[in-house]
Order: sequence, then structure tokens, then C-alpha cells
Amino acid sequence: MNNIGMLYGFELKKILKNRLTIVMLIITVFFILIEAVAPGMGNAAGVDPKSLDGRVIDDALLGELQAELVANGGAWNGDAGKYNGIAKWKRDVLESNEKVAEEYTAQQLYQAREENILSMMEENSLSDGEIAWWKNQMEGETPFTYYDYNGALILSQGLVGVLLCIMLLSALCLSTVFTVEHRQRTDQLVLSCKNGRGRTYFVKIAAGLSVVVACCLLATGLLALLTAVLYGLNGFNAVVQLEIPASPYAFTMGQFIAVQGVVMITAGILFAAFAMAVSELLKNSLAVMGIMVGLFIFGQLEIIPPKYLLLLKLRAMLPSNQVSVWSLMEYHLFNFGGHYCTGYLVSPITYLALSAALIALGGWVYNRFQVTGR
Amino acid sequence: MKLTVNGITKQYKNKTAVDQISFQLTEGVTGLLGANGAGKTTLMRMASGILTPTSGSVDADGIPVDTEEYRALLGYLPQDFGYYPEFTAREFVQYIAALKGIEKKKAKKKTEEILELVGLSDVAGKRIRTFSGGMKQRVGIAQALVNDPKILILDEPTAGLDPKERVRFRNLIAEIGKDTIVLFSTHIVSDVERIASNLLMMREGKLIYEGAWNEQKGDLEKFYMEEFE
Repeated sequence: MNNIGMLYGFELKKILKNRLTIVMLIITVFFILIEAVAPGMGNAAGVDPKSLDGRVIDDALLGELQAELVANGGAWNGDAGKYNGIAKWKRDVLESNEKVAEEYTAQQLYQAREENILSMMEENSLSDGEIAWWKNQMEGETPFTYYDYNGALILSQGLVGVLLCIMLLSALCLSTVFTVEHRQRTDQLVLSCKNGRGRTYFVKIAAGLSVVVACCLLATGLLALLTAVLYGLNGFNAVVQLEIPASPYAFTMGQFIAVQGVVMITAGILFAAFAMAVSELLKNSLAVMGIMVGLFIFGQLEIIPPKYLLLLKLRAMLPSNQVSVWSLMEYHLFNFGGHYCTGYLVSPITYLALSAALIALGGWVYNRFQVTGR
Repeated sequence: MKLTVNGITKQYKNKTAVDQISFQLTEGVTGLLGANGAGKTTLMRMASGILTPTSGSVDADGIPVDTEEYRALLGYLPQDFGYYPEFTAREFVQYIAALKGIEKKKAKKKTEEILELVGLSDVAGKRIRTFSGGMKQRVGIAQALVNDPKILILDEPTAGLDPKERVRFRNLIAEIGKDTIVLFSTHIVSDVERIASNLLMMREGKLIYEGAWNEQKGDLEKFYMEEFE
């Protein structure tokens, strides 16, 4: 077993000494810096965003907001800025800037939110069973309690950028793990060695997966550290509905970030497995990069008509969509014999199952590779 | 140990690269001669387990070529092999040692010994991409020898070596051949004459000569030139 550890070390070294890997790691750090610093630019000075922490969003709080709105005519300066978060929430519930200044009771706002969610569920052609499941999930969730959640939101949104970097790292650096052996003609040396077939394939895969998982953890850690230093890691106990009122998910921001973390790491494993296994299958790393970027672009397109439910579900399950804050508005469920699951449960399991299948397929191709021509 | 090649054939779409070749080798140096395209490299690839024959078999004392056990006995230097430009000579040989399943401590010790043997000790810590063609070839030879192979297959090992290095390497092969099955291909007839106790000659995928060569049979170079005219 000792030499397997040695082999793993060399495979890791090959990936990390690749210039593209070094460039991608620098880009990732740079990207995280932007993700962490940019949201803080232009923030109002002198506002204590935490002064309303723990207040229930009820008629009393909405009345205070209304008084400030009348007094300041909608401008949010100085101490009045502490109501900014509540005003934003009210605007998002009513889906209108103009209506923010109008008087609403808390009950009316919660009612409007629920009607909005049900209307969107119908638009998305959800079955009666799915709607009933969601209604059950949403039971007793209101009234919401307000917390300043800026830190948690910046971290959550930043994870989308981290995932993008991980995808690029996999596409650019890991798609060459096998193809470089063919291009450099080192494959004939490797395959003629005792461990050349079988074990070496899995050691290479393990090295690639380790790089991706380590990058996910380090990048998330760096983002969390920068967020904590710049904004404070607050708002983990705030419900996600403060940011996305139309979300039916019973998550706090902290729970959602944990879910994002799981989705991101399993998606990273899928990216790595895809890049390595498919490049061995096609013997072409450029094609793999093209497919990965193509899938990413497909995930961003809004051109799928609502009647193509399966395509919509597949698009929602793409890692870039599943890790986004907007996935909190994904109402479609997966029905397993009458048991409903959200994409947050199905996606990571699917990513891991797909990764295992791709790794097995790549191994099958690798072990049958013949050195011909040249 | 006995290396048995039994009725081996490699057929591509409309070309037979190797056609029904059979021979047996024991410890000693066997030279493989043939013009370009004769099928030497294809034959050596099949004997190294990196190319599956269309028909026929290769085994060492009954151990089939496509097994880990066979590969554990093997040292192989391909004709045109690659290297990892970011690796030093030491790292490269250690990496191959790990691929060959040699335990870490032993691999490090063996690497130093083998680099000394091929005269690369003083540049062991330098990246291979900075090496001359001859030095790269010596790294290739080192990796083939790192596991003390019982079967050593060398495809044009002296290509790229200067005359002094060639003589040195030829002597090394002769020494190793005392207790190892060595099969090496070359275009240089004098290399075969000097060290090979056995000779295989190929033309158009077929074996046209097998056996020892001695002075009674005449001038090998002349015979070779006549066969390949």
C-alpha cells in the first residue's frame, strides 16, 4: 500500500505543477476577493443594521417603517436606514416599488406572499400532491422574525462564484489528467508497469477529486473569512424568506448555506469525474471543456417552455442553478412512489451516482486502451 | 525463465503488422533487426502488454502478458517515449518505481543506484526538460531498469546516444543480459554483433531469421543489407 501513497503524491504533484492549475487557483482567489469586497461598496454609513435583530415582522414593526417612510419620503439615510431591510422585504412581497409606501397590515403581506407562491406553483404546473406537500411545509412558518443577514447573504451568493471557479478548474486542469499521458506518450510507460492499469486509473481519479474537494473547502473558507472580517458572519438564523419571500423552503440562511456546501462539493466531484472520465473516453480535453461550458450556458437559458417539465427539472438540477440563491424558488418536486423530495436532496445523490458511473466507464476505457500508431 | 511468443499476429484494417510470429527466449541478449515498418515496434508492444494481439499469445513461464504478475517482471523502453517536463530525473524514476509497485524506501534507494548507473547522478535534481536527447534517453533506460526486470524490452535504446554513450550502454545491456531476458531492437548491426547471443530478423511482419549468428555464417551486415534491399 505504501507505494500507492507515493503514486498518489506524484499524481497530485502532476496536477498542481500544471501551469493552468496555478493560473486557475490565482483566478479563484482574485474572484473570491471581488465576491467578498464588491457587495460592501456604497453601503450607507452610520447605520446599525443589527438594531432590529429579533423583531417579529408584525403590525408594530411595519407601523414604525410606515412612520419613517412618511417622515423621510422614502429616503433611507442615517438612523432610518435600519428599516431598509424591512422595506426591501415589503417591496419583494408586493413585487412593486410604488406599493412600499402604502399601508399594509402584516396579515395582508403574509397573505399576499402565500397567494403569490400558490399562483406561481400553478403557473409551474405543479400537481395537487406537490402543492399539498408544500402547503404542509409552509404551515406555521409566519410571522417571520427579522435579522440582518447581509453577511450570510454575501457568503451564500459568493458560493455561486466559487462553484464557477471549480467548474473552470475541472474543465481546464483535470480534463488533461489522462489526455496529457497520450499526448506526451508517457502512456506506454505507465501501462507497461505493474500498477499501470487498474490501480493507476483510480489513483489519478482520487488525486483529481482531492484537488477539487480541497479547492471547494479552501475557497469557501477564504470567502467565509473575508466575509467575517468585512461584514461579520451574521444572519445565519434569519429565514431565507427575508431575501426570497416567494420561497416555500423552511430554511434559515445558515441551513441553506450548509445545503449549498453539500451541493457544491458533490457538484465539484461530478465536475472532476466528468472532466477526467469523459476526456479519457474521447481522448480529447478540448471537447470536454466545450461540453462543460455548453452545459453551463444551457443552465442560464430561460427558453424552455413550461410544458417540458422534465427539461425544466433537469435544468434546475444543473449545479450552477442548484447552488444559486434563486434555487429557493424552485417548486418542482421529485416523486418517489408518493414520497416527495426537493432538488436539494435529489441533486447531490444524483451527482454522486453520476460521478460513480462516469468513473466506472472511464476505468473500463482506460483498462482497454491500446498503444497503437505514432 | 522462458519468454514464449506463440503464433502472434497483429492485424489492422488492411495491413498485417505482425504475421504469425513464434519464438522462445531465455536469459541472454536477443537483437531484433528489421527495416522501418517491419513490425518490430508492434511486436515489442505486444510483448510488453500495451497492445493486444489479434491472435496468438505471449507468456513468461506460463504467466500471460496481460497480467499484473507479468508486468511486475517487465522493464520496457519504448522507441519514442515521453516524460513529464515538470519532473526532475529523480522524481521521474521514483514515479515509475511507484507505478511498478516498489515500496517507497526501496524505490528511493533504487532510484539513486540506477541514476548512478546511467551517469545521471549529478543532474538527478534537474528537470528533464532541460536535458539533451542523450540524457533523456538515459532517463528512459533508468526507468526500465528500476525494478530489476527479468524481461527487458528495449525499442531502439541506442537512438540519440553519442558513440561513447552507445558503447557504455551496450556494455550495460550485455551485463544485464547475463541473468535477464533482453530483447532489443536496433538498426545498428554492429550493436547486435557485439552483444547479442541470439538474433531475430523481421521483414514485412514476418520473422525471416531466428537463432545465433557466428562468423561461419558470414558477415551479418552484408546479410542484413541483402535481405532489406
